Amino acid sequence: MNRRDFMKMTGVGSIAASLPLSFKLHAVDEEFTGKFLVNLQVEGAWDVSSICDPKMNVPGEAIVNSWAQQGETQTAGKIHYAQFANNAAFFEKYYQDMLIINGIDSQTNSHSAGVTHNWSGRISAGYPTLTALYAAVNAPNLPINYINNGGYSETAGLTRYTRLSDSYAIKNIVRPTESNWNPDEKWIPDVDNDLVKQLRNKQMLEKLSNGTLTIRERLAINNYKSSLDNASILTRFADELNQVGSLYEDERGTEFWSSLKRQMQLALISMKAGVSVAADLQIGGFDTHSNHDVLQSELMAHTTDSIDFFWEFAGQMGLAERIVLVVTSDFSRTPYYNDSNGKDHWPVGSAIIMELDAPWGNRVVGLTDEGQNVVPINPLTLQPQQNGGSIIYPKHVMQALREYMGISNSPLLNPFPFNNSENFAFFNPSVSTPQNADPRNSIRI
Amino acid sequence: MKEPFDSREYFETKLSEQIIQGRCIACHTGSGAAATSRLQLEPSTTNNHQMVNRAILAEFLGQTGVDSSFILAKVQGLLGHGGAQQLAFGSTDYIALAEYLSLVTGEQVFTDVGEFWSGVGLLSHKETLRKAAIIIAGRLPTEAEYASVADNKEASLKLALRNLMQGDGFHQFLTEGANDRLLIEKFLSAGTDFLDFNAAKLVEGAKMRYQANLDGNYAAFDRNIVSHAYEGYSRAATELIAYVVDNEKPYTEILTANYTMLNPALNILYRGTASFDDDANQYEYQPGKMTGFMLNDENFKSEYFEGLGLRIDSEGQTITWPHAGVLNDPGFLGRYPSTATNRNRARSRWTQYFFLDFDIEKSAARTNDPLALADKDNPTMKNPNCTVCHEVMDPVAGAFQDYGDVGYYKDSWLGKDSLPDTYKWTAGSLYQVGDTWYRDMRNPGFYGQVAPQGEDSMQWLAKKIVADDRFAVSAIKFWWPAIMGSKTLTAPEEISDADYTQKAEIFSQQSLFINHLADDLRQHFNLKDSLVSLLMSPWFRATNMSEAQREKHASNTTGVGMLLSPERLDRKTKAIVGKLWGEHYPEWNNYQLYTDLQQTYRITYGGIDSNGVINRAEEMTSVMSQVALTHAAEMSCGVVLGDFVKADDQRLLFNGFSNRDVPNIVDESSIELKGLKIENLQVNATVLTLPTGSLDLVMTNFAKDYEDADGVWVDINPTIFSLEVISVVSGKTVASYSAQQIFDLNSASVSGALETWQHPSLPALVLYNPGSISVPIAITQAGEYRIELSSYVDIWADTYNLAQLAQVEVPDLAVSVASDDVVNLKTASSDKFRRHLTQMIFNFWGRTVSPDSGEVDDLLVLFEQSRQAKSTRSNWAHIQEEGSSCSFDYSAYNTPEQDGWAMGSDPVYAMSAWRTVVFYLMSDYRYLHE
Repeated sequence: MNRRDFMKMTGVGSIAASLPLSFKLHAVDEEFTGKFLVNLQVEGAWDVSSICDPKMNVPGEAIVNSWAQQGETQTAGKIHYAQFANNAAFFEKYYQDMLIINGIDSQTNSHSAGVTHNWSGRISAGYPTLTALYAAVNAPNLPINYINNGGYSETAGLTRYTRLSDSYAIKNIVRPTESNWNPDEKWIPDVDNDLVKQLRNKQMLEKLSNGTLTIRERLAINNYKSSLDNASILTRFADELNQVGSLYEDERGTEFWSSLKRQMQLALISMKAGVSVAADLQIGGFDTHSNHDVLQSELMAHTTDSIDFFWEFAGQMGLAERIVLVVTSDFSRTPYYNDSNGKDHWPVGSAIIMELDAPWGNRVVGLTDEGQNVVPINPLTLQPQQNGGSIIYPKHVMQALREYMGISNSPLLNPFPFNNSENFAFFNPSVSTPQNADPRNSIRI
Repeated sequence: MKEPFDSREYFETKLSEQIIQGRCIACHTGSGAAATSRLQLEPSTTNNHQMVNRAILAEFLGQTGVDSSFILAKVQGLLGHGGAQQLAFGSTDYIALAEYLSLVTGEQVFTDVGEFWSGVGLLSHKETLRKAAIIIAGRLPTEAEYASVADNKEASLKLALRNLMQGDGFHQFLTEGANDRLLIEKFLSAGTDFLDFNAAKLVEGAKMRYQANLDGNYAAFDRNIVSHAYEGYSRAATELIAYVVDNEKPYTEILTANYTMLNPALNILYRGTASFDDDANQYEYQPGKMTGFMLNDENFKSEYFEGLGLRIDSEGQTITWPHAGVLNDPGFLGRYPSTATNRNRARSRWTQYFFLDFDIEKSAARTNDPLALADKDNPTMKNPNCTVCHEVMDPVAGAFQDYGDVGYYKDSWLGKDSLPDTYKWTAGSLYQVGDTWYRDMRNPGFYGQVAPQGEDSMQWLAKKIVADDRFAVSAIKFWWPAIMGSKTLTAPEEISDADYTQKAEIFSQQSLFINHLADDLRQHFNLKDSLVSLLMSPWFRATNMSEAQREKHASNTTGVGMLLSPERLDRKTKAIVGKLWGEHYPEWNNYQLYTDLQQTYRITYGGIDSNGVINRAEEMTSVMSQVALTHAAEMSCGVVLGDFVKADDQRLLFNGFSNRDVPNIVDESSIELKGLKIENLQVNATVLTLPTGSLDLVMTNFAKDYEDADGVWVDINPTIFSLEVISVVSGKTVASYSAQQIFDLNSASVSGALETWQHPSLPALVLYNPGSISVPIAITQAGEYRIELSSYVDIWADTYNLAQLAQVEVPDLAVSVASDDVVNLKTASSDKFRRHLTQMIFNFWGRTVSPDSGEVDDLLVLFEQSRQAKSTRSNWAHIQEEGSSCSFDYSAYNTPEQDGWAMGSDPVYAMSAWRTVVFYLMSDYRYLHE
């Protein structure tokens, strides 16, 4: 049975079924040579005024940031950053490799809506993550094509996500019929395993050719069959894991624990092994309604340190030149403190997009005023434009990333359009948004 | 045919009070939560409100994009309706509204609920019972239970399903299903401040810890009390729910129970009132009250000693916890904690989400208006952008007023309230001594009702919630994922989505069904009856559908095909094959069950940790598929051998079978081997009845290698010089083989050798160990055939006593003739195999097939292919072979007479073939899904 017949037979419901057949027939590139896409989901809402959209305090108004009482807005290359946590080391090392997008209006301060909006591009449920789309377009048949570590993971039925948390467990199961402690011994002799494989496959194909299956059973067979068909190269992943050796243990802070570095290692190892092309990483704990400075400082430092580790490890794996890292959050935090020294929810946030030696690096796009309100900009010149300017919404960032990652023309994306009336020149190296539009942003009181 | 009716009269009698004033007016007014929407209605206090509202509706229907379908979608919660679902599709009010809209617009509207499941086939009663037993009882039904549904009557099935709802398996279903929603088992692997004895709230714990440290017994205290208390804390809420359901108490008691569930350790630390059947069994939960929670009042005196803990010199007042079921269960409060600025709003949100079917987060988009966001003049009370949610959220938050961030009761100094110092003692605070709630928030209450003074507001809230119609709806939705293996659907919001129509219809149908069940639950509040209804429904039982129905059901991921969770797969495996993968009871796990699926591979196989990973996988991935294969591969040999070593009536899988039974035997007999020395060489024979065709003559030696025979160690080696097959009727020889030829045909697998020491010019095939040899024979005339073996038995023994030697019992050589065409063979043995495989398919996969079906054919062929393959590659005559592994502890079967290894003896490789069949059955998608 060829792939055409198989796909016809396995066509399931929902959006996947509405796709043109031609899409489902595209060639599978198991030796993926393109870029890898990684999205770091910073959950709970980070305080962008304490990292990439720094805010000083305004005389006579409530304190925006405690750090600004002693510190200053800093500059690395053309990028402004807050004198907070370990930002200096991070920005000084990577400013040339990053694009900052400030003033992204999430149009909500509800976590669930913000998460959906920022990681799918639409505030209503149902759109897949950028990473899921990228994996579905570029590597539908890789066994771990899309890694998700427990954060927002909508796939809209186009692919399935895999959780990678336990390297030990995975090493043990990539050769299912072999004994773990003695690879020369088999639980099932190869001859019998082959007989079973043939029969299993035959039965599944026969079932799929049966037009009366329920949608769910059809999906179950389809998923299991493709999972088995694609699993053989998982051994490469196990081999790479063995090469790397021990992975990072969980790290803990005052009120957080994090497996971020291990998530990074597992994602990069799987990409190196050729079994993955996209991954969502997750770090939580940023919902700092109290004790904001202490908690955000710890978390921010941990996050930027981890990103540094990510690029260093990617370099060791020989992958650094092929990776695009997107860092986003639910939204941001208020430009003032509450009674518990915390900061509550604020809809206007930022994104950081990183790629080594990117021509579009060392730039900032988008603007907020001293009260962290959006300042409209011209989408092409990126200059502030109070009248007739445009506001950056998550859909604009998503659309630009879809285009930059080369998937925007895939028929797979047809069911997930954005109704953008404008496209922002995020990746045009020749334009950027000046950050000192409001002079009070650099005043220290 | 509908009778014509007057639209005005219809509106006034069917819509105005029931829907417009009963539902819509709560938000759709100029000052309501939907003040910014396009629809503003008039309350019943307005003159001529019915006429006015009819006109408003008519005007609304004239607006762009508004028609009957739009309104009917909105009231169902579709299209992002801020008020979520108000009318369920198919409900009386929904049909009334639809008919009214149809009347005034002339548009056709869809109200028929009967078409949705037409063309969809359901599991039979027997299949339904099996699937339900696996899901809700973690076992297979008994034969008696199957027999009880054989009449195919609905009532019989309902009763059988109801009867499954008892015992440990059902209890596990309940606690697991409840935790999947509440996620309190997070604390099985994470700390909780509630059990922090330094806080001296659990005074008994503080005292015990201090004394244990003083006595140098802290390790024992930690192991015997603290670790179990953590477990009790993590499970109390789910145990409470299970207790209520198990005992058929009103389901409302999950919130109104004035007790909690305690294990012995928690009972000690809480100074609980529970009594146990076995005080040493920390896994026994009994109802009781917490009476030892201490308030830090003026009587409380203590001193902290480094390394010892808190020495309590004088206890403060201890209180009896004012239990309100799950709502103030310490684990629930800890899992959904608060902060000084959150002020129990998160608890309000989750309470309404779990128990009132109301998701505040989705009820209305939060404002992003900069002015509103910057409004610091108590916006949750005054700013309409904020009050839209806070007016329903904050009173419920207030009802949690006595519980602090961690979940302690009145945790402030002196134990008067749980208000934070940042509120009470900052400049300009509205706080007044004696307050228990914030003055800048709404009063504790519930949807317009204020919690009365003098009554515990938590217990009052519990009563209000269970009296609310939405409580029953939430109960059905709470249990839906546990039964169906998928979440309830959320209303699609974007009509432009390609699959909007499909999703909207499924959502409508699901809502209709859930609301019907909720209506029913309100009548009796016995959850078991609702669970029966869920199990009886097509949502659980759908197993096939016509081509025409597939499009309609394209987004319907219920029915057959539910991916089993690691825990459920484990229990299913235990029920069917009698073992668990990696089952052991390690000391470090308090001698509790540890399995590979539930622990080692739980997250990898799509399970949850109730902490960072909280959603179960509903679809198989490549990594999960390899876990499933490893599960089947590692277990299958041990499963087969473990079953065969049991007495026949104790077996789960192979009762009635021996390790010599194979399916393709056309006739069989045995040959008594006479002649104990070469000089006694003779022809030993038997007669078989054979059909025409290409057959295999198989001779199997069962004599073990060097074994104890009543005190004499003997090695019995059947020795064959030649073989002839002779037609009894014609006397013609149809096959003739020399020892050399027999050996050549079986050289790779025979456990023997060609020897010439018996007779220099006549090579003999000496069979050293149990095993089989075979030769092909072609039969052109059916009939009786005489099998003649020129043979004797060579015996080595540790005795020279010939008389004693003569007493040694020599097993007969089994002779059988097998057909290559196992599929078309019709013999007693093949029939027996077909019936057995049919039963195995049903047990493993839940599919009813005929013994003559293709599935059974496939298994027969697999069995024979596997057996033949091993026969040609191995001479071990054992379930294991060179380079193989088997998860079976042979040493457990060692006896003075016999090495346990002998339990794996597999002379005709039947057990080896069964291992392959079991591996296949356990690795098929039908085993992994239900």
